Amino acid sequence: MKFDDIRIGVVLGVFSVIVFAVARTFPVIPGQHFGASLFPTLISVGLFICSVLLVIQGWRARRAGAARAPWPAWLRQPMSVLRFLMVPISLVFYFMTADWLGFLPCSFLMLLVLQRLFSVSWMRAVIVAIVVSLVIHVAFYSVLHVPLPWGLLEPLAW
Amino acid sequence: MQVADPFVLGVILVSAIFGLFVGAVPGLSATMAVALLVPITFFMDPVPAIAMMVTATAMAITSGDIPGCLLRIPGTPSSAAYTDEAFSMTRRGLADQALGASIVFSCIGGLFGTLVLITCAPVLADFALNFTSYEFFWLVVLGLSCAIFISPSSTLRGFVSLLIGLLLACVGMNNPAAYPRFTFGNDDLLNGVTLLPMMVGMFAVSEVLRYATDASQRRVEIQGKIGNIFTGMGGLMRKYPASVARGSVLGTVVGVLPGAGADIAAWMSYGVSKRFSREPEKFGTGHVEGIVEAGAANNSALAGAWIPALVFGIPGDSITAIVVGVLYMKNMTPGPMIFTNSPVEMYAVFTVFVLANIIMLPLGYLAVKTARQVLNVPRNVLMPVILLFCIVGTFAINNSAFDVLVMLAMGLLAYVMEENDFPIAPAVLGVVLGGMLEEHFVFSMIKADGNFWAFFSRPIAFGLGVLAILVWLVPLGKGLYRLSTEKRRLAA
Repeated sequence: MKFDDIRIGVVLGVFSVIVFAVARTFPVIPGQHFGASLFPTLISVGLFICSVLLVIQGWRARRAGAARAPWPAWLRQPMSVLRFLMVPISLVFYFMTADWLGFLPCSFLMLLVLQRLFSVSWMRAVIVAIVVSLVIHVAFYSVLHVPLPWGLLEPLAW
Repeated sequence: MQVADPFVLGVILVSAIFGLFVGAVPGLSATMAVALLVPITFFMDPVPAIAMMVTATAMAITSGDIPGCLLRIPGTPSSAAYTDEAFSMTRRGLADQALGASIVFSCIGGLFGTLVLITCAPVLADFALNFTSYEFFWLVVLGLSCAIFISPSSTLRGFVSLLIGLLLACVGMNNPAAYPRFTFGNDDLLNGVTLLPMMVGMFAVSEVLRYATDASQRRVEIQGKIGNIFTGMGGLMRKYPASVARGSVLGTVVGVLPGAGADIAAWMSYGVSKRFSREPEKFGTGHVEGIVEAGAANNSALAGAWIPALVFGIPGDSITAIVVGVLYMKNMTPGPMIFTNSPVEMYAVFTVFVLANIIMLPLGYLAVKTARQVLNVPRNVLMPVILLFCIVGTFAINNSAFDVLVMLAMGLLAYVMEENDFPIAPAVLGVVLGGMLEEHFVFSMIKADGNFWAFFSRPIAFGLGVLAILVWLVPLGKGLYRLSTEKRRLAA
């Protein structure tokens, strides 16, 4: 996921301008010349200067004939990309479904899918998914009293 | 003696084994070990919680040497400095000496760092009782500057990383004006980006992401038999006393510097060892001197990092950044008063450090003997389990599912940053210290009625302020000088 300096600099520059604009709307502390806007404004100015320097650096490197950083090999393999994307997908999945589906079904599904994507055999994946889900549930819910959602398994709750 | 409590001793033993395991498996680092322990420390009393974190990290830093030596793959980033050297020793059949040296001298370095922690921290805290917001402001500025200039990547990238961290710290209502910044109407963000989920995301989730891009696992076979690792260690101590001393001192000093931790200590120490060695040509062929010095350095850095963390709340490295978060959670506010307000917990820190470094010897021996099983643990099963544990752990901290999203966002950010050579340490420091920086600045300005010169009015503040300005002017000056000589050369 390497991007070249110019691209990073441009993205950072645009971002810093947005931050600057939002920061200007913050009010002043009564009785003082500055307020909640001071630090974000300073930071966004600093980021903007850095982004300009990054663009200059990247432009110099390109002029000196530096090779463009190639896209890493894993991006060309669909399985690797899927594996990479599954991490954020499973986290968002948990965030959205844990409450109504319940912790145990959610974690079982997640562990199973992730392990299968990482080439674990079916047998081992299923056993690990069941055992680990139960162990973590008992450890956090029964021992530490963390309110893990029961969801669909509510009738079986202990 | 709270540490002598059987529960605490049991916790120490269990977290030592956990630390040894995490350190030895490549792809899991000491910082990740602490990040994973955070949800568990949440439910414990302060003393066992601290004991867990101290022991796990001490063990992890040491056991990271084992796969480095046997397989040329460092278990933790701090072992990378001498992995090649240790592996060359293994190839020459000297694996037991390499492993023995790294374990024994880690123990010695760690004990030295602990000694410095025990003697200096309370003295420094006493001195710091005189500090006001002016002094603290300059101290935080110095700490942040340190992180930028010591980081291995370019200063520009370090600065960008720091600014990102500072910006993240601006989110929420926790600012002197009590105005909700960058919350975009989201109630969950009113308290800011929650620190601990952010750490877990940056150090644990980013590793899982990295693993996902290359999930190949090769079965590793360890060549040759490993004999008694402790033979000949006395001889090494007599042969290289200067190395041991130098490594321990340098490691402690680097640990004290904010943002620089065990890995930088090890690299610097290895370089210093080569430079001052009487046999520099032997370095790289399988020579134990570098391992003696760097092995001591990375463990002493761990103890050194606690000094600024305890006395000022300024973390000495990423591990203590997480520890500072946990201390706040336990209502033990780091600062000069911590030795008066929580003396029992502080003595517990000291005692556990000593204990952890001593049990490193038998447990290290055990780790070497079980190396083959540990190193062949299937990471394709381990990583999903770690991810699940991160989710539940993060949820457990605030019972907030939103924190899971924060963790994800930070994990992705950390992954993209590291892939593009932006160091993470300045960002972590920026997040932890951003609030402090702003608070001390605003309070000082209000006290001084808008007069910036008041920042130099007190002697200590003046000294620190001048130091901070010099720290910035010198590299800037050098950079400008280089630019101008380059221009002159191009013009010629």
